[in-house]
Amino acid sequence: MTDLLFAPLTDVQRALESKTVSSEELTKDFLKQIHAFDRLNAYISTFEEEALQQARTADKKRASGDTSPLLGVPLALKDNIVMTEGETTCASNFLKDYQSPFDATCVEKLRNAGAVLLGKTNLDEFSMGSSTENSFFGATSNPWDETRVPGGTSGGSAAAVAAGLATAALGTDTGGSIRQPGAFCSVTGLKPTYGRISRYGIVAFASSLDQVGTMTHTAEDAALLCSLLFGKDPLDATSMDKEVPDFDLSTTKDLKGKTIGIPQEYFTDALSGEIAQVVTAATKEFEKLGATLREISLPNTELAVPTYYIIAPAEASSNLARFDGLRYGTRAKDVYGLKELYAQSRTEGFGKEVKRRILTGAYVLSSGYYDAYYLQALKTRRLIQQDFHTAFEHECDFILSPTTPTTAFQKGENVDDPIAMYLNDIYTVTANLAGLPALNLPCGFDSQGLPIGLQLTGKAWDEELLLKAGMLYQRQTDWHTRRPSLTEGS
Amino acid sequence: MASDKENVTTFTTEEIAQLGSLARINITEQEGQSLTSDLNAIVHYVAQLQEVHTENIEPLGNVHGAKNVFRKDTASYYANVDAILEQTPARSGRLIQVPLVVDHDEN
Amino acid sequence: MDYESVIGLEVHLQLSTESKIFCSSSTTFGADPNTHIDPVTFGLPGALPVPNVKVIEFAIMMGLALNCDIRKLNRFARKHYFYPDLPKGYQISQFDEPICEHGSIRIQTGDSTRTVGITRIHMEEDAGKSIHDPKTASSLVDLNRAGVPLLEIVSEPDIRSASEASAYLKALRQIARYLGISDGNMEEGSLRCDANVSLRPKGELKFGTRTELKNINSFKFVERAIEYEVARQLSLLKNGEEVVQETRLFDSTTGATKSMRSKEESAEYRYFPDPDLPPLVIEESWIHALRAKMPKLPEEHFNELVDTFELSEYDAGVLTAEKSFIDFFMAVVEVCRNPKGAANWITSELFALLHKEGLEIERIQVTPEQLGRLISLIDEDILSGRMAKEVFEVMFTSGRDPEEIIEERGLKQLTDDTTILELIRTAFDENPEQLKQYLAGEQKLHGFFVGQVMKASGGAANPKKVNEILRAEATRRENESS
Repeated sequence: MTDLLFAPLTDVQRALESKTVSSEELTKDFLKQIHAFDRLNAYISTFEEEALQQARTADKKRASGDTSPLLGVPLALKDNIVMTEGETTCASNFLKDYQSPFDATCVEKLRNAGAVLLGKTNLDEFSMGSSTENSFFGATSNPWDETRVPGGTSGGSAAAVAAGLATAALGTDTGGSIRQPGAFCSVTGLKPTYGRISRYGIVAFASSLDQVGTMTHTAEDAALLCSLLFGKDPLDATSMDKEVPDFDLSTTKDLKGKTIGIPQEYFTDALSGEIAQVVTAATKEFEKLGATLREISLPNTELAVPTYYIIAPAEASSNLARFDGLRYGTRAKDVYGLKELYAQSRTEGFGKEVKRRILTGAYVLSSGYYDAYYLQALKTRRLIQQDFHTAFEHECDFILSPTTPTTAFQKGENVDDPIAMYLNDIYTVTANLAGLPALNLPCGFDSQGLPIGLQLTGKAWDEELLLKAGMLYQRQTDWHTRRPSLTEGS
Repeated sequence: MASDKENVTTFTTEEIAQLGSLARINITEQEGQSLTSDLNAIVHYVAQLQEVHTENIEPLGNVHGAKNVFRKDTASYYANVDAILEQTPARSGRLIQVPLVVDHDEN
Repeated sequence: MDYESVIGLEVHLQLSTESKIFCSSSTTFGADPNTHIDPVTFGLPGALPVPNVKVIEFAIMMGLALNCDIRKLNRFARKHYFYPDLPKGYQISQFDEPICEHGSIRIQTGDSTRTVGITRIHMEEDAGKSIHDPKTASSLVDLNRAGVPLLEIVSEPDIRSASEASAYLKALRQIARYLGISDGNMEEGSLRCDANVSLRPKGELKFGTRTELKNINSFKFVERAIEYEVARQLSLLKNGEEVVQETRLFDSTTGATKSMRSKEESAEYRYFPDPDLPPLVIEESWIHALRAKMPKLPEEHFNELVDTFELSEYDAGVLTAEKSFIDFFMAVVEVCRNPKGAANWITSELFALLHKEGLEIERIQVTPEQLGRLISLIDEDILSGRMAKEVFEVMFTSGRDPEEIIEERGLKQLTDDTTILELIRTAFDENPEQLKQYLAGEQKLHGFFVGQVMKASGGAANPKKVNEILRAEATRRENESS
């Protein structure tokens, strides 16, 4: 059974279809495993009763011929995705008791596909961070080395998949929050093109950057979930009406004729030597698949992190203005006076990183500073996007790079140094700024046995090429099948 | 505002407190120090963008240039109104109760 | 030193759409508190706005009616402040890219017509409502109104008197009602107004310090508030004192304005374009299509009534006060081709009945076509004016056709010369004394005999004919006897 806990979604589907295992058994086993590894703190809440109920229903439906694609498959969701079960906390004191009256659109789709929803995974509070240390519920540990962070902000989802605590998980990615934890935990993580998956029901952090994404064992699993989750939602004005790709690998056997761009600006001193080596080695696999490698330039790369750290906090400070404790959420007690109530509820409710970002955001949006900071950042954002458009138009079909400059760092290492923490996002923020799809693929380990990921970034709406490249890569390598050696207890 | 790095604000703890007030966040004495130095580090870091020449660059709003997304004017009633109100920390009947607003105009 | 008042008005018009501007909750007035709510209205985590296309159409139409430039590329912006009736902690509005700009409206005060400039029109969402209860030291918030669409219409500071101000508001309201985009009801809050008032020496171009007046909820109160404020500022200036820039609340019981606790800092709204809402691009074709759908506006109707139909300005004003009136009028004229007759009947008979029964013109039984036919019957001498009034009253209460009523009651006017002559002869014969005096020259007995004939004919005899034939018969008898 342990095998199934770490098996790709496609294998789990087959096992359920062939009735090798029932959804109820599988779900029970996952719940047991989750408890056995409570110490990882991957989950904030589990929905034992509801999940088992869903599993039993799935089994009954299967018996009467239902063939929904996710029927009975146990999944986890990042706790900034609202669900009617339990609480949606965003890992914040402010929302620790908040019960959403509605499901996010992506949750509705999973339910319609028959999935079993195990619980909500840990994150950095309100998706602000890069390590899942900024959680009101404590840090999540990296299953590969529990003294280290799993990355963030979808650290809980990444750890859950890596440690066999869910077949797959949904996360969100605003500046790398799926891909970076994917790299740290050896999980395949996809951030789709902005507008592919509805943001209705995603607690907004930075509206122009946020996107729901998948954390899975394989690219094939990611493709399966994408085919279910993609699509325009009338409730999200930023979701786009684009044809859902056909991810059928049988039509693509290799990458002949494809050019892969390698951005020269990414291979600097900031990048760990080991990662550079491992990623370069991985490029050979793509050459074996028939692709041509070509060095390209993304000249405005250096502007990406500062641009992101103006736009994201600005939008965050605005999106979090609704958290005042008046209509829902934690309201401060024994406070008289409205202004004091606002301030006290918010002060008690928010952690330090959230406060930092709100203050930064308030500053860069205030009159007198708006032009120099926020407006300027929207302009440099266009420059960054233009770099990619130029590259894709003239030079390459997709881009390959490291996902992160380092492997998973020690807990506590960057907590007091915001800039050092922000620089973790150096390779990932660009895809969010440009609105492009990007995929983390496990591609090796460093000398300490810590996972390394490579990132494929594609043209807008070209998840098909990215995922096919990923699937082909995973056919001829096995990094993505490695598991951490976890021992129960302690 | 001059786009010259030398003109980048260096915050005092008072200014951070003011920003906090604007955002309805109380900054305690202890936090004040570290938040001030954090904000200074952050703002000085992001201020490097001011050196970039962007005179003819259009700001990027929606990344895909999306436009004209609307809905038709039809009214519908939300099914779970009560579930929404159940979350409200203080109510008087169906009304949301908050401390008296002192500085108000009728609008 | 002579001062002139410089007044600018900021109007918020609540739009009469079915659903809110950014979500599909209903805008219907008067529901139980917090029933027209949903995740978007309540500002729940994860909720997102989607614009109501009708709001944009209404904004464009108002802009066209006010001669504005319609902006091609529009964005919504977030305006941040904390207040319990503002669920998201920001209002979705428009900032430096309003949908309409640089317009104008003509207003009439007394005999003069003036043009007032319209600076801008933009779309925004309304906030909820609060009830403040000092006794329990709490405020109670109802979010039904949160998210209802508003147009904010800002005038240039071109208004020069309190009466111009109320004329401006009335003109705006009239246009909004003609377009069908708003009720424009100040008492109910679907039209709200803040006034900016300052004084400056006559001839001076620079503006004086202005105050903002709030809490004004009727046309009358607008005038009173402005009058009070102008007088207050004038007396300050004449005493060599300065006017303080501040917001003042109008107190309708005292007629005075009083200072609100002055706001410590000028508000820092941190406007930025709302990333949840892609921009609106308004193409010419859309504007064309809307223009074609728009009804004729009051001013155009007014001019047609005066210039083409030669009605008095007073009547034209009455008939164009509401679109329902002018529509009714034009439909009547379509049938009877007698604008003056139609104007007369509508403004006197019809309005009197409406007033008496407390009805609105939209809800009556009689149709404009029926009234048109009634007027035609009079014009064709088939029905006398006096009889027509009676017939109309029956039409009003029953909705029946005039022809039917006339037939039923035998009210057709008597115009047959022979019959009238007979009645006259009978009247003469039955009143020999009066006849003798009449023939002798007592002109006032003419009226007596006319009355006799009218009585005998049950009022149906055509008075003109009676007069003519009476005189002719009298002359004949006179000639006979002499």
